[in-house]
Amino acid sequence: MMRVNSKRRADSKKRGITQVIGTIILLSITLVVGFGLFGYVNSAVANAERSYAIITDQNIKELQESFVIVTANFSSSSLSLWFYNSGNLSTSIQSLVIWNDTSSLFLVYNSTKVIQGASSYDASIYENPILPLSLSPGVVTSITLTLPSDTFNTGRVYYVRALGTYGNTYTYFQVR
Amino acid sequence: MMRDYRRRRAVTAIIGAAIVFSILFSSVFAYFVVLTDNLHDYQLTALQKASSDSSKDLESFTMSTQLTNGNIGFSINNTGGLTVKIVGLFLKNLTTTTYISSSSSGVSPPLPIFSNPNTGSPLVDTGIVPASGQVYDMTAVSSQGTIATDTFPQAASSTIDEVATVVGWVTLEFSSLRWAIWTENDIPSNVTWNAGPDIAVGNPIVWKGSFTNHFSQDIYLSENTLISTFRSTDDEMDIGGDDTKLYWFFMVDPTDFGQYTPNHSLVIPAGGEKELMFGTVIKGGAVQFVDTDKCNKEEEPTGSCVQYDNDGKTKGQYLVFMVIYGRWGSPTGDFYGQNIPFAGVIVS
Repeated sequence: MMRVNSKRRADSKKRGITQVIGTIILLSITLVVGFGLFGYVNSAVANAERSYAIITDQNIKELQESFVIVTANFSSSSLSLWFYNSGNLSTSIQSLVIWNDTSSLFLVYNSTKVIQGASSYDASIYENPILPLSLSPGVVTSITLTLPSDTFNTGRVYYVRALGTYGNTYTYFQVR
Repeated sequence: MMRDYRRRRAVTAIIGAAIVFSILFSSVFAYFVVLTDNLHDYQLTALQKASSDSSKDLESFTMSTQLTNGNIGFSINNTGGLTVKIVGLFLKNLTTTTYISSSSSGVSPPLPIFSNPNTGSPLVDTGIVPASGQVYDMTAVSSQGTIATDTFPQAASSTIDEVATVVGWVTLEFSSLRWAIWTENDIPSNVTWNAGPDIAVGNPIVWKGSFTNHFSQDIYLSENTLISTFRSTDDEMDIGGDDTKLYWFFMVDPTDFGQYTPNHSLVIPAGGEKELMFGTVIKGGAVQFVDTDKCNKEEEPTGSCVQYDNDGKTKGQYLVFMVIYGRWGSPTGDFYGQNIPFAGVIVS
């Protein structure tokens, strides 16, 4: 009888150890899976937050960006433009498009090249300074563009469209 | 035994639930916080943008150029609802563009200049002497990017009722134009000056008006500066016919209407005004105008040279304009000439 009781106690002890180990394993699995899931979700949410913050920041800067072309001065082969940054955000002009009233002239100036029809030219020769043109808030900044070919004719209307870093554009026109 | 076992399982479940809850709560809460924060920033910027756009819409001003101390000057008239702050000015002629900013020297008062709603700014002297005969395009830009332009000298007046002018350096203030009946016994200080366009027939007339020189040099007026009247009707006020005639009035001595002023003796100072008087030096009687068909200014104004008005032929409708001749800076300086069309009168 005594032997039977002591055997049961021993079995019971063994079962208790197994249960503790099982619980530890279960807890470990739960913790590992849980923290893994937490890390994954946290990372995914962080990425979503980052993307959202970037988009919001872009939208905010687009709202804050404000500039005008105050005046322009033509010669037969060059055009000087004066920009005024009327916003409170530093920005820059990324590209300029020039065309005339009959669209017989159409030019695109960017940071690397000047494109006229099927031809393209080195920007460093025809832009002074080279785009992008930095605009500080409340400051007037000028740029001079030279025509690779063709001329600005007197009595003709010329249009200039400037594209800012954050997507805003400003269109200016003047009769030469 | 079974109870202990279940209790331990419940602990695991609770820990698992806590972890899942913490994952969901922390991630969603963090996302919510970031979302709210960004949205707040965006809304704030959108509000600022709307406010800025609204301010820009309310900003409205015009620029008016004029000669100031012999230099190109301008003033701002604020026609909007907000104070305007002018931060930059551009002067452009055929060859060059000059940018004037707060750091430019010689500008008085220096930029920026302010103009309150419905008031004008102080007159700003740019310190730039205008080149003779050149027209400048002027552009002013405000702190909000609003632009106003004008030309120097002004090509035409926006208030045509008050000022008669054309492209040129000399303008006539129309409201200063007067005529007076003058007889032989009158001395200039005794005549009565009239402003209306209806002139009584049968009397000699003298004219006076105030002229402004907008150039940076004095103009020495030639003796050939004159007011001319063209009679475009006959006595019945019908246009055309044999009675249409052109008449001349030359500058007369303001202290003696019986004397023409000598050549280049009258000067309109640079940036200043001068009152000029015009007449025919024909004293008394019924003489109205010198008829140029029969004489010129140098001849003795008697006999066939004089158009008498005994039969009332000078009634009619007249176009009045003037021609200014002179020399810049001195009686031997560069020649200048312009005309000013300005009035119509009826002699009845």
